[in-house]
Amino acid sequence: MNTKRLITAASLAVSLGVAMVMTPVFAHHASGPFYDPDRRVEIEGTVKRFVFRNPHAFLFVEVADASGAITEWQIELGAPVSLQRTGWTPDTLPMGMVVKVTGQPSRADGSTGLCCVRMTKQDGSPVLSGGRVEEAAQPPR
Amino acid sequence: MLDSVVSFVDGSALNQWVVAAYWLWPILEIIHFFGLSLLFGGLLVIDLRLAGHFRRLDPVATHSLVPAVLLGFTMNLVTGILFFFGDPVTYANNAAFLLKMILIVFAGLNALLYYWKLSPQMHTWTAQTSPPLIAKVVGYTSLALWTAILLCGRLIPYVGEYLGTGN
Repeated sequence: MNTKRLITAASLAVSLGVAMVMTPVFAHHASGPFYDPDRRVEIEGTVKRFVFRNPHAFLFVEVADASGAITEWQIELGAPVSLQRTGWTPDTLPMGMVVKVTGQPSRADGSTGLCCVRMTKQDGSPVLSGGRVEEAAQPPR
Repeated sequence: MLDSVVSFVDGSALNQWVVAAYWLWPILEIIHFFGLSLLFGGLLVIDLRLAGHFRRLDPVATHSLVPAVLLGFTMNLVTGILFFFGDPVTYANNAAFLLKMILIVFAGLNALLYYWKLSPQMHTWTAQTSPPLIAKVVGYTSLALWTAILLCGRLIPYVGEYLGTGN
């Protein structure tokens, strides 16, 4: 009786764990509650600040629209350890550098945030020299 | 009061270190999980015996797991403080974190009840003793509180917004 219960509880726990791991949005923290995976936003702007810090790195980019009005976008990147492992450093994105970024927009009204981005230099070449513009060479998210 | 804590923490040397030592955060998370395992694992045995389950276990023997629980709590207190130092503004404005802190206070009071009222009389219990009502209440309350604390902790990154972009 007790053994049966234990087996039931254990299999429940295991299947729950498997279900969670297999849900693709679970990378480290789910980004789904905050960013919309069904939309992609493309911006081109000037790096204002690259905050390479725990627990997540952030990039602040100023984007000018056709009328010249400037909007600041906040781009959430991965943990600095993960960025570092793929060759990123705090100096990878110096102030004033122009980047092209495609990513999922934040859900909050009036916010200008992006996550899970692909990023290139202005001419479309990879941000990291020697890197390639493909998923594996992109900043971890 | 929380504001003054945040302004003390934000920009402090320890804050700068936690933010900038990139390897530190994942290591803290690993220690925090081990601490959690020690704490919750020990309490699972102690509290269930307290509530009258596993009566073949000597209740005084389960009490000898208390040092493991306290070690786990200390590990998590220290790593938790370092997490807070790493991202004070985010934590101070996070509902799950604040609820977690309040629940930990209640869990501490509940543990004092165990320490003062119950552990002194447990050596008289045998496998036939039905634990007094207060023992059941304290045991189940402890497990419920720590489960809620665990859930709150896990939900911190999912509720509220990330505000820690100051540095």
